[in-house]
Amino acid sequence: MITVNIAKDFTRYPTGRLKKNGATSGEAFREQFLEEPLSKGEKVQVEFDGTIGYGSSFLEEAFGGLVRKLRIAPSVLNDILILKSSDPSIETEVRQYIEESYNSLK
Amino acid sequence: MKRCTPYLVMRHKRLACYREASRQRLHKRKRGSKSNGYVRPGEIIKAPTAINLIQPNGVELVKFLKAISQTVLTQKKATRLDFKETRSLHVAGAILLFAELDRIIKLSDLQKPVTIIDPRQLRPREVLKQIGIYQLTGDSSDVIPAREDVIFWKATKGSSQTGDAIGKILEYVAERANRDHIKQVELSGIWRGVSEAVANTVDHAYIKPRNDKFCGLEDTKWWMFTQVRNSSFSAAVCDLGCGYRATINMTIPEIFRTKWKQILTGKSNDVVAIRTAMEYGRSGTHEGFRGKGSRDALSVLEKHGTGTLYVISNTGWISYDYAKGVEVNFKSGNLGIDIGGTIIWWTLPLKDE
Repeated sequence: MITVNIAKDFTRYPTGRLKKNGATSGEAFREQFLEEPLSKGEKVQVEFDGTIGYGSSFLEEAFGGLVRKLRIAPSVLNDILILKSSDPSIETEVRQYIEESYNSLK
Repeated sequence: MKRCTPYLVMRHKRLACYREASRQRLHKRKRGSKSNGYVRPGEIIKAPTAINLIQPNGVELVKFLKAISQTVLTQKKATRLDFKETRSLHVAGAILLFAELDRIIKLSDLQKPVTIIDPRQLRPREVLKQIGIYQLTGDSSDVIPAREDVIFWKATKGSSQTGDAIGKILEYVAERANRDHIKQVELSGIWRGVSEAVANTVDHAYIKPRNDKFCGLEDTKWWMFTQVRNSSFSAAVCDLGCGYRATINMTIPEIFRTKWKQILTGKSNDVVAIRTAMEYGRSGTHEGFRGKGSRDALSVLEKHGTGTLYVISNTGWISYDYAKGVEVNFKSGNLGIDIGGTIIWWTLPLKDE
């Protein structure tokens, strides 16, 4: 299993959606840490604590964008993507983006 | 004591004559009338006494900024901004002054388009220095900001959504706010609102030119302010883009726009546009990609419990007041003049409810 700590491995200040608008964006994070292992079916644990906070654009693009790009069903993704945060609302929000994004593909 | 030699007597007379002549020259200069806030473009432009966007000073401030733009960018003349009578600077007015001066100076071909004439009072002089106005114009000021309610004004600007600069400033100012107050500022909540406001600016604010055909600067798309003053934490994000009115047709479905246009019959186009965008974000009916910025702006108040959010765009403004995590008051109005951009401004009290 691969563990990604956003604050340590990516940035303490995650923001924005697309990497053309900033290096700390959701798209940049997704491409750097999530796409490759998850597309191979490897388990990834994402740790959210330690950053200043999260904007919805970052979370939606990182995780909702993952579903749009890899076209993985939430039932499959939930088994291989482990979300770890001391704030339970973050996990709820991310799972919601995954669900909404999958529904938009139908 | 120094002996009064004939040479010194003559020198004093010369200096007195020179000072008197300077006074005379100054009195002969034409100035704009203070009564209606109109400022004539020209060599010296008089700044308002309060740099504020709340009526009626908002009109005076925007006319002042338009006069600078007309003088420097249209007439291509250098100008001096007379801040002598300026006594106070407020968040929304100060950020608009900062952004618009930055824009004018960057677009000008003149070597030194704007020069500052210092405020008489020390506090506004300290604030101008602290927020970087002297740095923008290239003037020097020997004032060293020292007052507690001045040194925690922090300004920054940028063109991308990269969060490091914004994050470090927010951390610094929030740490100061939390040091002296029982009610703490929660950074993750503020980050959500501020970073999304910046992201929206980069994504949407410059997709169309504004009324004066300005399409945005290459290296600066947004300006941000944070402040701790009178037991309140304030943060504001400003852009000089086309405003909500020009973009809602592209970002919000027609059915939603029509519904809110009917609800807000009688309100100005700008107020309708801002409110529609805010309500779209709150509605939960939005598409996955859109409408979250406005919801995030309000989530700052929900998380802190109490506070006020102002959204000012073109000629309109709306405000939400929250207490105990729920909306208790909503207001809207017109500034009577187009500010040429959008300001999102949070004020969070640091005293217990």
